[in-house]
Amino acid sequence: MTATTQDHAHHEAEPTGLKRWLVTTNHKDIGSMYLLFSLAMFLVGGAMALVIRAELFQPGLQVVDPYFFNQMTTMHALVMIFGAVMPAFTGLANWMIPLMVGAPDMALPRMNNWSFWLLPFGFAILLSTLFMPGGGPAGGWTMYPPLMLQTGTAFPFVIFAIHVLGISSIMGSINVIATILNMRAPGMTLMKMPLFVWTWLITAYLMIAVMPVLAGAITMLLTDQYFGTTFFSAAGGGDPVLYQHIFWFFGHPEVYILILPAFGIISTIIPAFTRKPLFGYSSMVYATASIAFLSFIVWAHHMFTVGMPLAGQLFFMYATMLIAVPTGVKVFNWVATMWRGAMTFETPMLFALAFVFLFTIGGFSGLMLAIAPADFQYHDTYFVVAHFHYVLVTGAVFAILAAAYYWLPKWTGHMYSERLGQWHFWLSVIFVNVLFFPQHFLGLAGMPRRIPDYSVQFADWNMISSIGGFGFGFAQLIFVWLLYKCIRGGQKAEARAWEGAEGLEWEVPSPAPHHTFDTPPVVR
Amino acid sequence: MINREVDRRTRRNIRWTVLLLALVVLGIYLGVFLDRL
Repeated sequence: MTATTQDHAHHEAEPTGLKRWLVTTNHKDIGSMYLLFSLAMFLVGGAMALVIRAELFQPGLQVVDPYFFNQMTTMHALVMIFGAVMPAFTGLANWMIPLMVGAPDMALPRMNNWSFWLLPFGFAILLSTLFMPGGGPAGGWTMYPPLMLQTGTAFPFVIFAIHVLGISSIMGSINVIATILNMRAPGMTLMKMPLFVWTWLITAYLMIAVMPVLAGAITMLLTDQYFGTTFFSAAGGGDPVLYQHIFWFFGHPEVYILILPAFGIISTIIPAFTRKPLFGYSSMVYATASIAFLSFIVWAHHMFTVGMPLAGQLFFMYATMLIAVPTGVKVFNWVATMWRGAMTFETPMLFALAFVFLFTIGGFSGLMLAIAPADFQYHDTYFVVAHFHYVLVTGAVFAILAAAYYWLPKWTGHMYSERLGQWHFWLSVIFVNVLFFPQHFLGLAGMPRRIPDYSVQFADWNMISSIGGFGFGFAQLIFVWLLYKCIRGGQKAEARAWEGAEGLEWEVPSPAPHHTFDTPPVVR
Repeated sequence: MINREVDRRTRRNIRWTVLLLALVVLGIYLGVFLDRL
């Protein structure tokens, strides 16, 4: 792919200082704000995780009271999903999609600004519930009724905050789709788009389809609580299991919303550090679309134990197992890309390689959970906790870190400290396994999730897991320090910061100028 | 407001894309309730 680029410096004077960030419509500014917000939420959610691991370090109750523990498990999930991972991907989309498709900015820059600023507003409300009478939500991030309806003063605030976060996500998705479909540079056909753009396009469609479903479900919770409806109340002719169906019709595609952009990142980084084109580009696109389609017909595997007809169990079991096929295509393609490549192991590549290994472990434990009769044993145990943390931490979070290392030179104009990056990677990859691998054993031995105390036979692995948790948590502070240093200075980055990097984003200088592609590049 | 740096035809296409997606979102949101009413 070749391109010509031009950067014009004829834009009118723009606000500076705080106002610049408040009213900015620039995709790079908004991308940076999303990413920094995500980092802040990652640290807040991480602190909540450490409260959980501190309590579970030993059997018995010693650090927090059980009700606060339940608030921590609930808020940790909500913060990490809606505050850390989703905004990180949206930040990456904002920064990179216009650069990758050769567009001057996002299609709807003002809505972009609004999408971002709804987030701090929503999270201020959500986090403030921890200080309200009765505390924050404590019924789990899934907010199942009737348990969720027992939340105190915080209840309407939680519902409102999640609506706000959902609106932000929907607006962000509309912006991404409108940009990709309408603002690609001449010559950039759909099948020439970088994989990161493709995976984000499909993710945006998923969000459009399922965020309103979540909004509908929690609006019904609200009306059940305050307006006399009985959507989920058996006493009034409703059905609490209906909520689970609606929630997981949102919830399972949500899992793919959290992982598909990660697939795009890994498909970008592995070819760059292997110095080979991606193996099987079109099969990657079709595999992503297949995973997105399948994500809509597997939701009830989260609720095998509620009691459903055998035919239903079989359908959801086999449909879930089918997801292994397109996912296997992807893993095969990443490995085939590396085959006989001239590989080097800079930090982005290390995180990408760890992703391929460790996400696959999460995939395999997912297959185990998909087996309906076996799931009756695994359900609501620490095995599930281990599974989704392999998918979301060593999967989604590792991909976000890989992306941050890969594109930091483009964002800041400086190379990060490779030595600190290597320390960050190795400490993270060791401690994350110390943290989550023992949770498989705990779950198989029968330890339930979401409990502040446990039977003494689970003590050893819990202690090891907690040590891993604190190690992993503190390893992330290296990244914060590295980031600070990289923003402040360092070795100047070239336009093409990585020898094997391909794509339009590497055609513009580093750091990327405030305005790029005023004249569309020509893609051949 | 739509990006001013693109031509009229692209702006019109963006407007249609947004309208269609907004209708889809509204339809799904209301559809969740219609199922129970």
